Amino acid sequence: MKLSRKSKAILLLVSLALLIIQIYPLVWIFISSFKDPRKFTSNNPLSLPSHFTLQNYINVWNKGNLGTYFLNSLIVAVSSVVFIIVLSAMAAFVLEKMRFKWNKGLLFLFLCGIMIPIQVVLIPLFMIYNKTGLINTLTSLILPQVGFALPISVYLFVSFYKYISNEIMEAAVMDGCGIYQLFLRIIFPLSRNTIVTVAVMNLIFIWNEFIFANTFIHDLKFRTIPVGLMDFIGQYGLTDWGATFAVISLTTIPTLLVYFVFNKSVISGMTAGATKG
Amino acid sequence: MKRYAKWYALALSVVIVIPLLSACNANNASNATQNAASGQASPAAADEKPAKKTYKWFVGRDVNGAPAVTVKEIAEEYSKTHPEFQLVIEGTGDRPSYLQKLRTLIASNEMPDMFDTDSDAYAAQLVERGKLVDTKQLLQDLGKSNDFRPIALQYQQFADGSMYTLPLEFGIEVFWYNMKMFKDLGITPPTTFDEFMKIADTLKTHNITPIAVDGKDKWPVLRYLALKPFRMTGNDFIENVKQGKASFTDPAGMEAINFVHDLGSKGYFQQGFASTDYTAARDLFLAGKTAIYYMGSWETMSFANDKISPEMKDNIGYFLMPTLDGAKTAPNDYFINSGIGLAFNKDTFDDNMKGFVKYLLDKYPEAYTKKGQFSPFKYSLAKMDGMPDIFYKIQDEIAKSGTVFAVPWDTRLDPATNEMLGNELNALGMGAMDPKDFAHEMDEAIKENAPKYFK
Repeated sequence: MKLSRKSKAILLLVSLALLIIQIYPLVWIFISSFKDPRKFTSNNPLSLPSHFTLQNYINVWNKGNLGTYFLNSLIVAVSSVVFIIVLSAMAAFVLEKMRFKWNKGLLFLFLCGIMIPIQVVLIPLFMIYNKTGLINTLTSLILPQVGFALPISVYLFVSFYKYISNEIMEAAVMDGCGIYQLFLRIIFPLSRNTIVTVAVMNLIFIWNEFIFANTFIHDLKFRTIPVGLMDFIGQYGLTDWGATFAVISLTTIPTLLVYFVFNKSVISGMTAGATKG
Repeated sequence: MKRYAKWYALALSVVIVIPLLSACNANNASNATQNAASGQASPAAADEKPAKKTYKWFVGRDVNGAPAVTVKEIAEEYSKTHPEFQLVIEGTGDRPSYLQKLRTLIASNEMPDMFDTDSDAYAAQLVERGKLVDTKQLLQDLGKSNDFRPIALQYQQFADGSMYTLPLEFGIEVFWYNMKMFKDLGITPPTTFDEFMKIADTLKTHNITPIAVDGKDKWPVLRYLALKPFRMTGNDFIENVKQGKASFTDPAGMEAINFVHDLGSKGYFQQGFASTDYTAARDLFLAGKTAIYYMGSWETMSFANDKISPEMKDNIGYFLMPTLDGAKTAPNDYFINSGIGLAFNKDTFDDNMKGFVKYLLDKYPEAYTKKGQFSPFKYSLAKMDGMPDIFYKIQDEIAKSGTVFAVPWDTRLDPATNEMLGNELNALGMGAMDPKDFAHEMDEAIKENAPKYFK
């Protein structure tokens, strides 16, 4: 497809406009976090900081718990993602590449999980955790995250495996691979892009998860970042916006980094198997 | 497949065991609260030493706000002499997420020992199931009933006069205004709604935004809707209309709707008020960008000279809710409330806890008031205590307040109608809705939702 000069220019302009629309809110939050907290709402919200101040970041740091929240979020996100990838890659392999009686039905059961809203399981989960003593632990956040992420992750892996030709597997078996070696040495390395997609998608989702973290955690020391943000909301809706923007700036950086680094793989992972080629 | 069964089993058990192991470590820390919250409280006999117990207060207010901090300090002091009592505090000032968690806790039979709730329909259900301590009886037992301002307790009561919560806060609601702006234009504070509108008009013609309002949180705009009906009928209009016994097309209803519609469509509220939040609205007023700001006395200390810009110094006055001809309520009757109440779990309420409550009620008034707050107790500070002027002005005003108080509409309507009213009200204020349509829409909503709620 050859593009004329004119349409190239138009395409460029449209992309730029979209970019600005996407980026501007983030930039605005970042700039706002350097504004004087007392002058924050009295000035035009769109104005640049009259003088650059780190006061908000100092205030946030003095609240003291941010490091803990960060660490907790990290532990929950990373362990959840590891479990999600290991379990969904293996399950998908079995469901897609092995022939057994309940193949289709089992996959369907997995996909049914997409339809379950989080709120429905909140109370049953709470009671189970209470009985087993898991309440108020990071485990109580990791388990439901893994469970809720499985359906879509399994689905992504299944649709990718569809396009791994059986000849590769046959060749590997001829060379003496057992089923586990086949999976670990051939299939798993091949699905790099899908792994990255599943990881990034879930990382961002889990990083921002609020309901479980709000419900299952009682102690400050196990709080994650989204719940920690509540520290800056007072009564009657009084909010320390300067501090809030500072925290948001800090907490979105990891998400952005992850996304920038793996951007290419995510896009190709999402479209894997969309075309035969 | 058989060959792999044992591998599979091994892998599976690893997956299951790892989280359990990490849970064990974390568990030791939370065991204390676990036991306390397990609801197996046995009231300690008077002659034996009671075992050490941890009680939990699940707070629906700002954890760093004056009420929570004061209770916390008093609890720590109490624990020094009563090592058998420990209080842990957890919570958030963000009401929606607080309520979500509270309801999950209660539905899972994990009601906290102390928690915050309004006397709403949900609390009424808990009372019905015998879950809450009767605080009216409790105050009588402790001989503390007369320590409170009567209105503070009335606000906590259910319609039938029973009471299952205790107030920790107290606030009257007034119109704060910028004295200099008024003086420059030769305006005196209004006493009637007609004067109020005239003043707003004068300010507007001199290019001053008359009123700052927080439209994002919905309740402040809702107050404007409730002003005129309270003057015309007391609380009768809202109490009747919520069950469809009155209509928004009645005189009181239409007056209210037109009032908000006029304020908004004539540009008396600030530009974009629907998306202005609490902090922003207050700061608009404090930055001298608007002349009037309606808010409760809990903000009094934000207006003290040491907290505000030099140009606003000694420049903040207040006036009370305006009135109208044939008003049913006196000028000193207006919005007064004692905040969200403190409820106690009946199953875990033992003598140990009772002792603490008694101690709390003894210590709280002074400790809380010294933080520049107005307490629900009959307690006032003398001039020599060194509070800012504006604090004493409001303290005197509280002493003069009447006996009838306006009830917030959002604590009376059913949740579905409330939700809708909040959303539509901003549309009305922005002139995007015709007052008559608004009235009909509200009546429809109440007809639809009220019967299910007020059984």
